[in-house]
Amino acid sequence: MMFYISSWNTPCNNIQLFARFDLMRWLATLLLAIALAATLTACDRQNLHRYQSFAFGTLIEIKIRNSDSSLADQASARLFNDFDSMHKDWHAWEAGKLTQTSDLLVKAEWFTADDSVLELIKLAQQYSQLSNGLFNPVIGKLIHAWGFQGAEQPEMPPSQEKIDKLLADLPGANDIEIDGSMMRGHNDQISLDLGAIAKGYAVAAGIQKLRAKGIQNALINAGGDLCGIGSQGERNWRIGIRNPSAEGIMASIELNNDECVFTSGDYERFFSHDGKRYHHIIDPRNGYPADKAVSVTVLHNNGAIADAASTALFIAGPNGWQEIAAKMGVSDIMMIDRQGRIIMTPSMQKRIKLEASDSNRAVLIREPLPADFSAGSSRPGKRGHE
Amino acid sequence: MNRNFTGSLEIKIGDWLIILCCLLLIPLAWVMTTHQPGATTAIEITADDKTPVIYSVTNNHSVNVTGELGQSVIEIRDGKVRFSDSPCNSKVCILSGWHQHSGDHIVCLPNKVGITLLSQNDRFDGINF
Repeated sequence: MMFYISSWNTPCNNIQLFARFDLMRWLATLLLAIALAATLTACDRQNLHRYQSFAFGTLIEIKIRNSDSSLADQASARLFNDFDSMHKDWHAWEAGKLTQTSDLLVKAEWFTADDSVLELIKLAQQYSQLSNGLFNPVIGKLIHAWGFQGAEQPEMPPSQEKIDKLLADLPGANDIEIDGSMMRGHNDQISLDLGAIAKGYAVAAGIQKLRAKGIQNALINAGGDLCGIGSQGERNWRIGIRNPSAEGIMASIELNNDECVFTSGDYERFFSHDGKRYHHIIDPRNGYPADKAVSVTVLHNNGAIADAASTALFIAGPNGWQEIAAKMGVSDIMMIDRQGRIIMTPSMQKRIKLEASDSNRAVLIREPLPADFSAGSSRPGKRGHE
Repeated sequence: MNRNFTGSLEIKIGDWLIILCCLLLIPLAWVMTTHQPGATTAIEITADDKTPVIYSVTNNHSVNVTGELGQSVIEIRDGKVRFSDSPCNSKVCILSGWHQHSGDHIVCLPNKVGITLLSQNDRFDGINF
């Protein structure tokens, strides 16, 4: 090709004509390639199927890129049914399998746990230990006292006396003893609330179910928390991260195959009383809404870990997150602190693309602790109520 | 070599047809795939498990939607969307303010009303919050 272009200005007429013709052919080929690529891209969008339904207490959207639309229809319908069942089984305050389990746990006698909740409770217990108790799945009574269980908007915080009373005998995940499928409680204040892990577990399980049906490209969005496999087609699934303190998007990220992005923030549910704002993520150490961060975003290939870790790291705040992150095996983290600064791990910095409107934010890069950070240096008992 | 040159001089009608087809296909595919990337062109409202309804956002207007608790009012202005009124107690949906990025969702859970912002070519496939 270089020969023909370089021959363009030679005095040889034949070569010049040949070069002209070849260039036309080359241009035609190029145009054809571009047209085909663009048309295939347009066709690929026709293979993108989108489904929505209210399930799991939020609006869930499933996007599936697959040429077989009937397979996508069936798989999504099945998934919405599963989500609906999980939501009912795992509801923290409406009568169901989880509330029945809480009722049995406070009796302090062995019982056979229902299969629908056993695995999730085991995982919650494990992640609670790894988070030094900052993610605490058994403080339903404390959350209820704040008014964040139910559709009603809380009007005022609970009294200090009530908080003190709840904290005096606050249960931890280790107060649940599990032996095979048998379970018993060791604290009569246990009230299971798996709100900080259930959605992540469900969405990740949903992705695996889609994969098992032969679907290789899908994205599940459960009220702003997302897990994806494969790609959108022309690119990876691209996720915008909402600005936690203003309207609009502050950053974007493209998900790798089989990856989840979860964010915990103080803006999701809150109320104001006497000029002070109280949000729904309660710090089990003092019984009040955690006040050290505005939001925490976690990327991980396990949705349940991403969900639980984003809550635990939010509670830990800018000065305590590294130890928790190391123990939970989470390394891609972005935190917005109370000063509006972005604190990111180097691996997250490589993945995040800040919007132009947020490019002037202060960005602090903090190395996570080593992956082999041992529990021996974690000073058990320093935090939490384990 | 010379024979090859003289035999290749003419661009035949088939060549022109290929070029013409390419020139027609490219802008068509361009419009289908990259028209105003990220700009919301419509919203899809899902109410109380009814069939979703799509509304344009090109004109400023309000949409009244009946959900499980009562009527939610959705305001559309300058390509942005928000809940301006809701029968729910928490008003979280109203407090979330204006939204404009395609792929975003605004939801009133108590009233079971959800809004999805749509675009010809979504800049984002989903919004994390």
